[in-house]
Amino acid sequence: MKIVLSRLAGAGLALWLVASVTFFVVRLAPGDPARSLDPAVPLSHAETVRKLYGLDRPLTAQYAAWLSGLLRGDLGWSFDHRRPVAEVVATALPPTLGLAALALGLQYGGALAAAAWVARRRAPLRRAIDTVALCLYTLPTFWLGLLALRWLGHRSGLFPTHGAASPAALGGLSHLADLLHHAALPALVLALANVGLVYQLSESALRRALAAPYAIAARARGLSENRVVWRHALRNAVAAPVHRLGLDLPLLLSGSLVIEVIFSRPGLGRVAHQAFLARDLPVLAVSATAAGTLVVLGSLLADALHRLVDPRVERV
Amino acid sequence: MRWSDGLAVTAEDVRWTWLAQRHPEVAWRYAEIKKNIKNVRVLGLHHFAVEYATESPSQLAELNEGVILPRHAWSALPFAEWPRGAAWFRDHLVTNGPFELAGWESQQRIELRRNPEYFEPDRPYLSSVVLRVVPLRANRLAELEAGKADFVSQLVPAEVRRLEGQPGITIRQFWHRQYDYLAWNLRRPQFAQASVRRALTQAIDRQALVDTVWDGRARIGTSPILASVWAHHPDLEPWPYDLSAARDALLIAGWQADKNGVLRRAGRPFELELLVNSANPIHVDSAVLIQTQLARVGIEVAVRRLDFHALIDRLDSGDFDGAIGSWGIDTSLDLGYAFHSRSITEGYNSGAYAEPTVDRLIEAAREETDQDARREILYRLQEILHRDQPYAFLWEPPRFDAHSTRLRGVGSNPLSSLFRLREWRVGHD
Amino acid sequence: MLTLLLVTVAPSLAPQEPNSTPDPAAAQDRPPGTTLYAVALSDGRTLLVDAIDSGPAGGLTVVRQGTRQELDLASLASTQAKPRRFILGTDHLGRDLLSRVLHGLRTSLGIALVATILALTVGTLVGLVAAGAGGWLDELTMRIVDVLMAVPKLFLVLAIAATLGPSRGLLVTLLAATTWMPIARIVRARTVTLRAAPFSTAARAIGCSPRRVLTHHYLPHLAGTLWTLGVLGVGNLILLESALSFLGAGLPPPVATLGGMVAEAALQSTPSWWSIVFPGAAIVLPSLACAWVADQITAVR
Repeated sequence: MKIVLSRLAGAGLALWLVASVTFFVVRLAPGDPARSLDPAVPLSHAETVRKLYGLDRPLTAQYAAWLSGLLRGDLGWSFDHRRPVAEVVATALPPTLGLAALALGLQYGGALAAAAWVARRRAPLRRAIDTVALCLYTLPTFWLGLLALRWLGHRSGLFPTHGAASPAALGGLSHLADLLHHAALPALVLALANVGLVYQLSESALRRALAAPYAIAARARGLSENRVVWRHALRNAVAAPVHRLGLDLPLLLSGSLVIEVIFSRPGLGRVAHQAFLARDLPVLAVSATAAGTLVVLGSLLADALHRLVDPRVERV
Repeated sequence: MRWSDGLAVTAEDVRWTWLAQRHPEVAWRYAEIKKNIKNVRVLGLHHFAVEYATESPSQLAELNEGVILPRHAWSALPFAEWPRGAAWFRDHLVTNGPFELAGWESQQRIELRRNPEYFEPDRPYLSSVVLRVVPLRANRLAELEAGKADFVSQLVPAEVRRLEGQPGITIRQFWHRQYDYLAWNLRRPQFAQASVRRALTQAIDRQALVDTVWDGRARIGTSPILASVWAHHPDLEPWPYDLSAARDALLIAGWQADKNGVLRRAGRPFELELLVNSANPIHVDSAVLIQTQLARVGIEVAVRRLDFHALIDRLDSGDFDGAIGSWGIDTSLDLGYAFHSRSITEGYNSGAYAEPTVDRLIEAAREETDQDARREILYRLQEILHRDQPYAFLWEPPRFDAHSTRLRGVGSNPLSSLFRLREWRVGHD
Repeated sequence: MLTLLLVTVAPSLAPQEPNSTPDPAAAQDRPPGTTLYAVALSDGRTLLVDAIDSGPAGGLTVVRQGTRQELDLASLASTQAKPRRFILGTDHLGRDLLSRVLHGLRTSLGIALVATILALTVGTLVGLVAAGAGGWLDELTMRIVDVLMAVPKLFLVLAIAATLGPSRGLLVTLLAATTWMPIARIVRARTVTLRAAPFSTAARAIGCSPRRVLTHHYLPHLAGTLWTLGVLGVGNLILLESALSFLGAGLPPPVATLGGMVAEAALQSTPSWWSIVFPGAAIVLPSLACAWVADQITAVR
């Protein structure tokens, strides 16, 4: 209980830090959101806009007002989208979460399956797969994304190349299929770029587990090797990569920023990028905080999962 | 003509629209354009009169700016709440064009469907139109080629090259209301002399720039009044690319090459920082090419990519050497925005160009209603600007749209590619 | 070692000027293996042409951008034409891709190396201090490290880079600032284990000063870990640096960086395959080498 409380306090501190740093960095960055470059608009217009959004007040007053708004649950007003920030971020969140979940599923499922399959193969094959994993690990996400877009998207037409859904509204199952079809390529790219590390972790954990006394005991009882791998060893081996989940989330989020830009997907990353370019401070600060929240939640989730698959953790 | 909720569009709407446009709490960005309109009087259901403070050649354009708003639907929201009223307006959407809004998704798409109440018979032809936002350029082209999109606007030359000759795709080229320039900061001593600025223009091989970034399809610029406009000075020749003339002029101004070929005056090298909008690949590429070209006369250029807002910041504060930009201009032919000395503090004359004759001519052109006399004034203005080169006028870009051949009736209009959307139709012949 | 070799040798291998070309319009987007001929004109310009032949009256007949052109003797600075080979092709501004990739390798590797050394130094210091001090200071330091690790970095780095303007020093600092935290954690954990080990208890018992325990007992044991972390770090930072360049926060043009080259190509509406594939491959190779070396170090230990 004490651990959970201190983790939560740490998480709160982290979020406040993220929000504040974003606020000040962006506010001090050159560029005035009120200004435009249109000969028909007089400079005096910028003054009006500044007053409208409270940008004419001192920085500390703006910060205080913004922070107290946050605490009251008022995330502020986006002057680029001209909508409440909560609305902007709320619409951007589901596609990003969906993509991240799909990518994580592919990444962990693929890595564990590969590790289990490789566990009973000969050493040369194992080394070959090891090398492939190493290569995948070093592929830059954006490069992989561009190549996939070019050859799997444009050239073959197998996958849609942008957006999160088809423009025509579909109902029920076909809508879900459409969403998956749009997310498939970006998720695959994200998963491929991160799968190498997870694979290496699971593979070495699995190898240790297979040499552990209980695995030997299981074999001695005459259980098939398949059963030993899938039922006994894998359950133990999964703990190490699952614990990494928390660390992977930030990586996945920065990866999805790049991927959302490349595949023109709506989402938190693109909203934040756009907000930065437009100096839309309220949106930027909130999306950075939202990303931070996801990371913190992810690491709490990783802990919980870790406990679930490896009950020994509880006793520590 | 009727609103999408069935009520008639009336002169009352026109008057109320004008009230909204000039209301300080609405804070409409183009309110300034309406300052010459003193009153809009309703004369009948569809008749109104407009009273102006002064007579000027741009009266009609001033009236025309902005769209007519639905008074019956929107007067329910006080003006003070308009700036934050996006959600309210979305829930009370009333339109009156050939199309009405069928759906939209922020940053993704807008769906239009035919407005059955539209006043022109049989128009629009299309029953629905979907506008999509596709940020990555390569994606847009692929959608057109795959037949998933019917129309793509604002192509760059490389895209035109790729689409040319493809069956089923038509390309339209037309001149746009835009010119691109390199502005010098005249506050800096090295750019204070017109002779040096002319030399810089002559050291920039604009033909090579246009050949590389525009496939040779843009016009080299001579003046801020576009070549397609009636008041454009036809006798001005672009300053030719001439390295030896440039070197001579720089030498006269005191810039001498040292043994490494670097130009120096009083021991200080000729260096400049060239600002460019990072979101504009054509400008970034041009800046890199200009860097190489100016190095040939011994000028060291540092290219600085800035995002849009950071760029404006530097221009506003007058803290720059040179900057590449472009102006999209209206039909008023008022050059005050960038070349009148009053615009140094109140407008977009970021390079601080100040020439009393130019100020006088700009003011005279605003008031002159006789077209021939006005043309004379504008010719004189262009001659002085050509001589003084506060900007190195780079080029006037062409605009390219492409559409599938099944689309008919697509006219090109410099205002907007979608200007004649009501005339578009699908058909094979 | 290979890395160091590449860093020093790369530019001298580059066959051409990486940042410019005399005739961009004629040289742009040429496929790998293209040969063009440089013809010097008397007005100071140089043309790059596909084919060349002797023309009337001692002049030259050339084919430039698919059009035949006659150049008379007076317009030529020399009737000699030098061939230029573009082994990996050219980019959209006609610059030699091979030269740019080699220069980009040096820039990217150099930045990653310096940033890694900086991150290793900071991380090791913080880790050692935390482990050495113990108690509340240790607790506090590690909490701060935890908090910093939860910060989504890419955006902050983007914002800061945009504020201060891109430069080598800033880029190195930012890269190091985002990567020292895990190093500090690992160094602390290892040191805590080492402190409990019998040999360090013995060293303290025979009266070694804390400094001597640190330099003669802890650091040699940490060396292996630091090497692995360092080599992995270089590989990771090459990737991070290229991602930053891709998003526009890298070094200003015309400096060639590998990520920047991929980004420039991707911004083109019709990028050629060679302008994406080669710089990307050049990012993968050194980071692959680093990961492999780290793997070997771990395997040996």
